[in-house]
Amino acid sequence: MLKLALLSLSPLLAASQSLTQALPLAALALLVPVLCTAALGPLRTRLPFNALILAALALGAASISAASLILQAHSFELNQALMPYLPLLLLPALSCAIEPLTCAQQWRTSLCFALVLVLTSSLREMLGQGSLLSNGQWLFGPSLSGWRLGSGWAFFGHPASAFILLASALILFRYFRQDRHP
Amino acid sequence: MKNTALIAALTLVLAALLTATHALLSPRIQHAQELASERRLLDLLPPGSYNNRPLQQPITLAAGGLLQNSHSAQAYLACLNGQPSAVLLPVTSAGYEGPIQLLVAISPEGRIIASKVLSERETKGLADFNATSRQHWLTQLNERTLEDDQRRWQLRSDGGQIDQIAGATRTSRAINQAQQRALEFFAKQRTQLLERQP
Repeated sequence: MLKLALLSLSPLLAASQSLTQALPLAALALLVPVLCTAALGPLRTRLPFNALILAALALGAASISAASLILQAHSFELNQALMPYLPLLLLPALSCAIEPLTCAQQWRTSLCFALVLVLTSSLREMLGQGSLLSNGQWLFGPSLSGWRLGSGWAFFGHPASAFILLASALILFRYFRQDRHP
Repeated sequence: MKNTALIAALTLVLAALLTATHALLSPRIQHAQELASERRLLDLLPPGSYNNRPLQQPITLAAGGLLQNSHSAQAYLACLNGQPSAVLLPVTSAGYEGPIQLLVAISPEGRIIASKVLSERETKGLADFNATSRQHWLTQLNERTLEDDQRRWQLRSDGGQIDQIAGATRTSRAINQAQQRALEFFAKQRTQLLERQP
């Protein structure tokens, strides 16, 4: 389960270079596992574990394919940019079959993932490209092409920078959460 | 057996839903694809400089001649409110490793607006046009006309004013000459090209 959760980080790390890419991915990361959990609910008592995995794969693949079609119709460029990462959303869908969560629990988990993705991508885009919502026209039409804030550091354009940002956030989180009393 | 039937039923329902979604969205996807191709090809024109759909009415040009294209190629006329604002000409030149195909946007007055490399086989990392620096190099060739002083057309290594791409003088020269030929072709065919407006 932990391995699956870690693998689910791949789209988060790779697609977090711009907020325009991260927003639809975050929405899908929120919707796909919740839909899978809801659809697998009635099947859970009727199917053995192995068949449940197959059902989760079929549900995940179908919802990702439908999402890809909708993205293509909305913005072809956005679909091209996200195409390598969309199939990776199968991993959270698969984890729905392995770990039985209620819809509310799945919603909270997916929301955390989506929020981290949006925050990481905003930071990476601002620090790496010195812009926010660049190529925003892919999502919001020609009226919004993003904001240029200045020049950025090329390092934050690399996926490795997402590891460093996440690790820094974890260190800060643990630092403020830990019990400092002996 | 019951499990297999249940999984098969689920797969059939999902396949039917996907087929219906595809059928429903197919025309919109095709339209979005066409618009994306247009934007990719026409991104060398300044935003707001045209409001027609140039790719819908291509002008077929014969192979060879001044443009030196190996096959017949398509030129495009961009118009703003019915008035021509640019002609996009495909032109080929012999690079160091193979032919370099360019698309050159020329204003109705015969000035280079911008150009982009459509295909090339130049040395990767040295003279290919995937690098931002070499794409930027192309922009210094904009705004030139055939009437300009010859030094504005020549590379520094030939006594002119243009910095060649470091280590790729032959590629630089090929692009420079291709643009010059595109302007000459435009000057000769100006009336026919601009009259093709819708």
